[in-house]
Amino acid sequence: MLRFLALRGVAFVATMWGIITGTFFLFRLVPGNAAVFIVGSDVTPRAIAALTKSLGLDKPLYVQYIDYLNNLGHGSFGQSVVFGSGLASALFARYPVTVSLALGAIVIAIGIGVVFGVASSLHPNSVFDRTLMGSLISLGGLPNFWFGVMLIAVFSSGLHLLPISGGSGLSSSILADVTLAAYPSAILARLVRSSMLEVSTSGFIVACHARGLSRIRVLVRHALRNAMLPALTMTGLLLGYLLGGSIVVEDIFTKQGIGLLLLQSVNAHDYSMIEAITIVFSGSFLFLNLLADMGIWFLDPRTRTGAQSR
Amino acid sequence: MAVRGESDVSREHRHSTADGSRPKTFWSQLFVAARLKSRFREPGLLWGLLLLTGVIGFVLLAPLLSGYDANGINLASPFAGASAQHLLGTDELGRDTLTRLAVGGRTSLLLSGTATGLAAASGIWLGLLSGYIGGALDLALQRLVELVIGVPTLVLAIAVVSVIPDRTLGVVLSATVVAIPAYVRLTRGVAVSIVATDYVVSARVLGARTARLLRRYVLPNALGPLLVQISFGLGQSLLLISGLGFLGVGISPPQAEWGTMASDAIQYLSNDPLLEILPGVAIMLVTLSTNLIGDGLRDALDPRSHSRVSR
Repeated sequence: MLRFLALRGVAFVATMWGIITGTFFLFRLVPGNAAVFIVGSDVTPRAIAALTKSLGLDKPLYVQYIDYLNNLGHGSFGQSVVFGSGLASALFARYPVTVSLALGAIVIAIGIGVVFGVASSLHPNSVFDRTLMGSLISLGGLPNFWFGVMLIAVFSSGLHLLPISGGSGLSSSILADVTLAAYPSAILARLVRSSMLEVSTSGFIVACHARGLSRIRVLVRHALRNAMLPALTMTGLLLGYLLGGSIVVEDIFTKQGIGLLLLQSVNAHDYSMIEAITIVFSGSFLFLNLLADMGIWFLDPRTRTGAQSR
Repeated sequence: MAVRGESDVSREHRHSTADGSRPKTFWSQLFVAARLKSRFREPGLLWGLLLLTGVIGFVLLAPLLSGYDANGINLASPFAGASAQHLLGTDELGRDTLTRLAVGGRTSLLLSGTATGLAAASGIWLGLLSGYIGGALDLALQRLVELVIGVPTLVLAIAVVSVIPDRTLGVVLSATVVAIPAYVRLTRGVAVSIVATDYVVSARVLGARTARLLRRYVLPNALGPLLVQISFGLGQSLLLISGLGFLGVGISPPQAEWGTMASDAIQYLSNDPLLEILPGVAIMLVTLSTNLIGDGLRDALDPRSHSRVSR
């Protein structure tokens, strides 16, 4: 356990360091002086020079890099030059909106994926199976931004059933979560279906039936438990889609998360904010991915022996 | 093969005994034909190709036939419904929707095609280098790929777009960067497994140069999976590029592009929902076709899916 955690922890830190370094140098590629972007070119050269100095942009690149890492180590992303406040506070005030959006969507996606995947696998290639999978995959293949707008048009503007945004409780975010969950649901359902079909023909399931266990018990305790492992791995990978997709959903449903903040920062040329949000998004993705891997480690004893023998 | 007489009779029914090294008889030629046909028996592949050809034909020909300018503003007739003059009506500025949809499609498809091509070309090269040369280069490239994969796709794309002043260039480059890792990993995987095989080792012993080994042995083995990936990748690039356009960080208006068209149309949903529906349907048709082609190619090229289809 400790060994596994240590290995994954080191890999996590190394990847994060790489991403931080990569984004740092990516944003230093911006042509021209960042200070000019912020105040505009119609101020005096002295004002620009002063801002350049206060931002530390006059120092050599490697000094800026060390300063940046040092600040990050103290939990500071620096100042937001456009929004006029500490980056970290502005960012983390909005962070929970994005995370709850993504987590809500992943719960829906796993629910739909497991239920529909299992239901579909019970009678493979039947009309029911084909219709269910066909419609789910077509829905998942829609552009998410367009799907969200269509949901608003039908359920909020057309039928007045659900609010677009605002309000409180579950109903306010259900359209947003459904928009975000469409693609992962389709992927997970297809995966659960195919791994259920694969597992159900394997020897130990036949043996379970032969021992006279009830159908439902075999299905849930034995088949599904094994079929869930690939689905869990896939869930970890889909988190990248969910976090990125939350930008789209926050834009459509005007939710004040860090995705919307990212778009506002791009339009305002606030590079330090874009940089910070990129790092936070990647960190969240890698961390949740790590959690998914640990989940598999707990569920599947085979990965444990594999980790020890390494 | 030992029982020639027997197989001659049964070959009509059994496609599985196809073998490229057979002498050219009437029967073997029939086989080649049947095998080709069986590839196209993938109905998805055929439908996907037809659909994609149809969409490309539409975006190329429709503006020529309609006679309207995609950006030609006619404030006298905004939101004109479908009519003989404007088959799909006009938008809020009186621009012909059909023409705009086709011209927007040209932009969307051209940019996603370019990004896919660039990503495939560079990804295949990097993958070959990584898998064939190995060592420190391989290690470095693989870590680099992991970094790119560690940033959520859309976040990375927006970050890249934000540092490039030219929006069109930024959109193409961002769609390229996020697509490259898939090609690198795929090509590298094939290269690593092929380079160790006996026939490559013996070719090298016979004095074949690296370029020849890669071109003659590694690439042909990777071609099938790569074609599948390119097909899926085209759809994904289109989704990404139109998504960037929708979010206002992609191709900037007034240039028509499916994503920006969908975004502009939101405020006119009550005037003309068709303006919103059409770009979405267009994107959906393309992604549907690329998925059908990708799935079809995978089934047609995968030796395991048919009993024995030789390459």
